[in-house]
Amino acid sequence: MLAMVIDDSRAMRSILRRIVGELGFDVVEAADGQQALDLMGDGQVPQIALVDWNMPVLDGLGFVTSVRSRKEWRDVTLMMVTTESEHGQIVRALAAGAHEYVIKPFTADAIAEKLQLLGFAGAAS
Amino acid sequence: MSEMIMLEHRDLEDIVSQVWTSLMDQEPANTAPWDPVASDVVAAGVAISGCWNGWVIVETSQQGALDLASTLFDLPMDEIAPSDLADALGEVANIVGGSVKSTLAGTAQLSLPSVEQGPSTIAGLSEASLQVHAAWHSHPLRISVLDDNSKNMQEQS
Repeated sequence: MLAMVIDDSRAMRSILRRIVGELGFDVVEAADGQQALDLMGDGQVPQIALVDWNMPVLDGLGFVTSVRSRKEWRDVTLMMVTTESEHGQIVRALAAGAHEYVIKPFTADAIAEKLQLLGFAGAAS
Repeated sequence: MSEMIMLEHRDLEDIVSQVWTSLMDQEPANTAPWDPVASDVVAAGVAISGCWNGWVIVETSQQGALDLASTLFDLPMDEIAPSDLADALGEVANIVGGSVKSTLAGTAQLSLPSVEQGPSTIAGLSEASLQVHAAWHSHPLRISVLDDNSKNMQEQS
């Protein structure tokens, strides 16, 4: 299974890559929402995307909205992984089509638990 | 009008502890002295704007930032590029800033992080009402919360 990590911080992408990689996912990275859409348009469509909110070019909410507007990507699971913790913003992201929400800082166990909740139990292989 | 921030010193200590424990797997020691050579300081800051306006700034030494980047990237220190160092410290400031923002009662936005290397140009830090001094892996850390009455990084650049 393919996971896409979308975050403008290379350090955060590195952390998330290690976590989901150890859970059995292949991982592709994008530095912002537009880069992620471009990768998906080129055929790298993940089963799950871990999406930061606050990014240049196209933010996480814009990415979620764009993905949800495309029927062919309706099966992509979207999980926000962000410092944005305002209740209203969480509701906005979920209403736009995100399935889960993780607030930074997080632990590897927290990411694994959320992935299990989303049906990626055990391993992704 | 900008609201008063309700964060107390103990709350900021808890935020720092939680961020370092989650990201670096080790809690920093609190109440360590802040005494690096000025030219050795690396600072990363994020602005909060909205119901409260101000900055959250994370400072450490060059070696501290290198150690921090090495930990986050899980790479040896000699493989850490200057851009990695700035990226890692910026992300730490982003997460600390987000945690500070979460304590506000109203709506606010968090900026993308900015990072300064070399002599700090941040004014007003010594007068910051809320400041935690700590040490991680023997590296000095200073985390400051400044309201918008203090001069900020953008004004200095």
